Amino acid sequence: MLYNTFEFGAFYLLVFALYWFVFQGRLKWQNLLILGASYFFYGWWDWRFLSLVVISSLTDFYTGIQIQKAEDKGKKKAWLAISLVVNIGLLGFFKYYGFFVDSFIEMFRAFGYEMSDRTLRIILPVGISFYTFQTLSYSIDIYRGRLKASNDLVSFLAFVSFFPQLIAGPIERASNLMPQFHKGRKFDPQKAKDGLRQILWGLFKKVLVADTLGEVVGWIISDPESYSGAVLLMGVLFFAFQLYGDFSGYSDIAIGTARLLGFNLMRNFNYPYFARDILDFWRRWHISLTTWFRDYVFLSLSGGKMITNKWKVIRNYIITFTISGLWHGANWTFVIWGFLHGLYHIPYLLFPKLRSNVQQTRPPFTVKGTLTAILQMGITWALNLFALVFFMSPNVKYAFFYFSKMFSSSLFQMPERFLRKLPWLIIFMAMEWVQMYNKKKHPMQVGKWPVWVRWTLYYGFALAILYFNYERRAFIYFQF
Amino acid sequence: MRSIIIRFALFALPIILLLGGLEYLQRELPHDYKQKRELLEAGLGDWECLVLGSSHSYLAVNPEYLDLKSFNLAYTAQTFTFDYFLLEKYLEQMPSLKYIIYPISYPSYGSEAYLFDGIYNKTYYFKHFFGSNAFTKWYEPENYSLVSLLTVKRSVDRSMRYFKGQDTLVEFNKDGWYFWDDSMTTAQLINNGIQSGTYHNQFYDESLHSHNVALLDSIISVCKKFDVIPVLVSTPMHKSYQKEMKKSRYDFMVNTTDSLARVNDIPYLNLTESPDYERADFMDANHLGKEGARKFTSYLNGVIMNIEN
Repeated sequence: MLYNTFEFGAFYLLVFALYWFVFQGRLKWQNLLILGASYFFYGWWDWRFLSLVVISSLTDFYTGIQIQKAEDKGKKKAWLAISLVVNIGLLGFFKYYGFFVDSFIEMFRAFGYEMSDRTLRIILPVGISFYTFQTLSYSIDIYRGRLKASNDLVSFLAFVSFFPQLIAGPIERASNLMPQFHKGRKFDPQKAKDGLRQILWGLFKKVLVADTLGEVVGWIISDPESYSGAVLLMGVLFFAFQLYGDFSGYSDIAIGTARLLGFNLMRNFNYPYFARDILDFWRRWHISLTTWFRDYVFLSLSGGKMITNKWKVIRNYIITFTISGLWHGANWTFVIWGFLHGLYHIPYLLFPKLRSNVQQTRPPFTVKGTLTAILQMGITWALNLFALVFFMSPNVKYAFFYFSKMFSSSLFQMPERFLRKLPWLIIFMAMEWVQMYNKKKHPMQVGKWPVWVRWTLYYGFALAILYFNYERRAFIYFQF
Repeated sequence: MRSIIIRFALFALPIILLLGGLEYLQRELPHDYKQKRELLEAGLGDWECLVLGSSHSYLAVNPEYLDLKSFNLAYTAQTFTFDYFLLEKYLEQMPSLKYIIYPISYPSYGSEAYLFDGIYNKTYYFKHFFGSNAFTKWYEPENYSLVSLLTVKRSVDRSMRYFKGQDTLVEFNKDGWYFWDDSMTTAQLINNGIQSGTYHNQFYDESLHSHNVALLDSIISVCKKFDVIPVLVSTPMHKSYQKEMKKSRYDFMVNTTDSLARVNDIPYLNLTESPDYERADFMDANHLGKEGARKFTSYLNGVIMNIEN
């Protein structure tokens, strides 16, 4: 059930009506409704895989209680290990089994040993990387003493499967989302209005930015030989916007729909394409995942202590980003993409002064300040695009072929096609830029604008979404 | 909460009205399926020969060259399932019908259009225009709304084209025949043969063999029940397409059809590899163009007239 379909609209309206008109004031019933709706939402895609959500949830509900109960550290560790084994086991089997077996066979082949390449072809359950990480963080936080285990099974199951963010995040922390299931919820008109606006903005990004660019990116990726280097460069650029529109669009819709039900989800994107350097980029891009890796992988690598040895810090950065690459998909292209982002951090870790002038340029703009900002953003973009070639490639060989075609003399000629898309992207970026400097969480926060401007904007966006919603592509991050 | 719901409803109302208007317009405007149904039903009592099947017969059989009063009811990706449904629905109402021309082509036994609804949306069109309830799920909005099926963009675009006078929105003539008056160069045909052959091979599913043979058997049986003779035909294919056909699948098509024809004592004309058709006869490597259709239908007419006499 995609967000930009009639099915989801009807489903959501029904849930909304029951939630506020039938069950208002009855917290348990509201939570039960969320749980039922979430399981229905997930089962709509494939009801068989619902069992995985249930297994993951029940495991952590039980281990969470046992970790809290256990008096000695060894027992706590053992219960945590069970949670890790179950969750990482599910993820490993469904997402990485084929990848590791295929890589193994390839490795043996390189040494001249032929092995059968008949591996199990396993369907990837949608959203598995998101909900397993969410439940894992719950158990780890209890183990670390930062969270108390929940005794309310319904609330816990609803927390893990909360349908607005079940399939593609934001990956919520129990410390943020769980308490919201325990508190009574009252309809807040301001929150609801903002939620509706954020949904509109998310749909706009998904339908008008991601899906329209996705069509072009599909043509370029499927036949790179037919295009000049300049068009191939545009292909990566468009892919960057497609990915952003798609994923941040999903997050906006998720946050908006949750807000209408009285929940606050964490922010997942903060105008990432205006980042001044790669560290800044990762503070703005997929924030819920970046902070997850920071808290549960990076800090675990340093044993929870402050490390002063720069080389160890660099090593930990590279390991963390490489694992984060693998999280995105069972393919070496994602591993390289993550590894590159790890490498990109090295100059800033070795020479912290490089970051000294990374700050937001505010009016009055000076020529020097503006030029510096443009240069910094340009470098960040270039690094990001370079790594994205791997991210969008089906395999490593293809990525190198794409590079060889892109970095040819034809890179410097006028792109023969697709130039007409660029002005629209510039307008999109301008909207983001203006609202970023107005310190808005999303560009559709226009509550103080004159009524006629707002309504014109709403109608313009709604009609454009309806008109261009003909591709109905699945969200890219569903596959992760 | 009431104020926000009222505001939201006020905001949504013009959009709902607009969509309702667009839906009404789509139901009123011409549409291929709608037109096929209307033309078919207008002459139900008169039709003596009916052409069924997929794009191969849709382009290859021009009823103008048949001496019997004929209508081409074939359409793109119209697999056995849909033809069987049409026959079940209309045979009883066609007292004059003597023949159906039924194409069997290389992909016929290995494909089923309703399995690829993402591409053709056939089941929904059949639901809208022929009232078929098969294969669609009740909760799918495409069952109830043409705009949902076509999408808003395509609905608006086709309405604009129609009102600007740029498009009739119907691609076939009064006999239901879709003609193509242009031909490809040899190089284009070769390339097209590879592409379309690869495409058909890619979607060919051998596990559908028994399902499709059973359906063809049912089509023959239902025709016989009403004293209608099915004339099975395999339309000519260009050499470039023939090269892409897998021998085992081609042999399956020929042998199965031949055996069904013999058992039921009906004609089967296999012109797949006929040398009489040249570049100019083809629209593309697996479809005949205007001239090819004239040749093919004239030949077919001869066969039918022989049976008649």
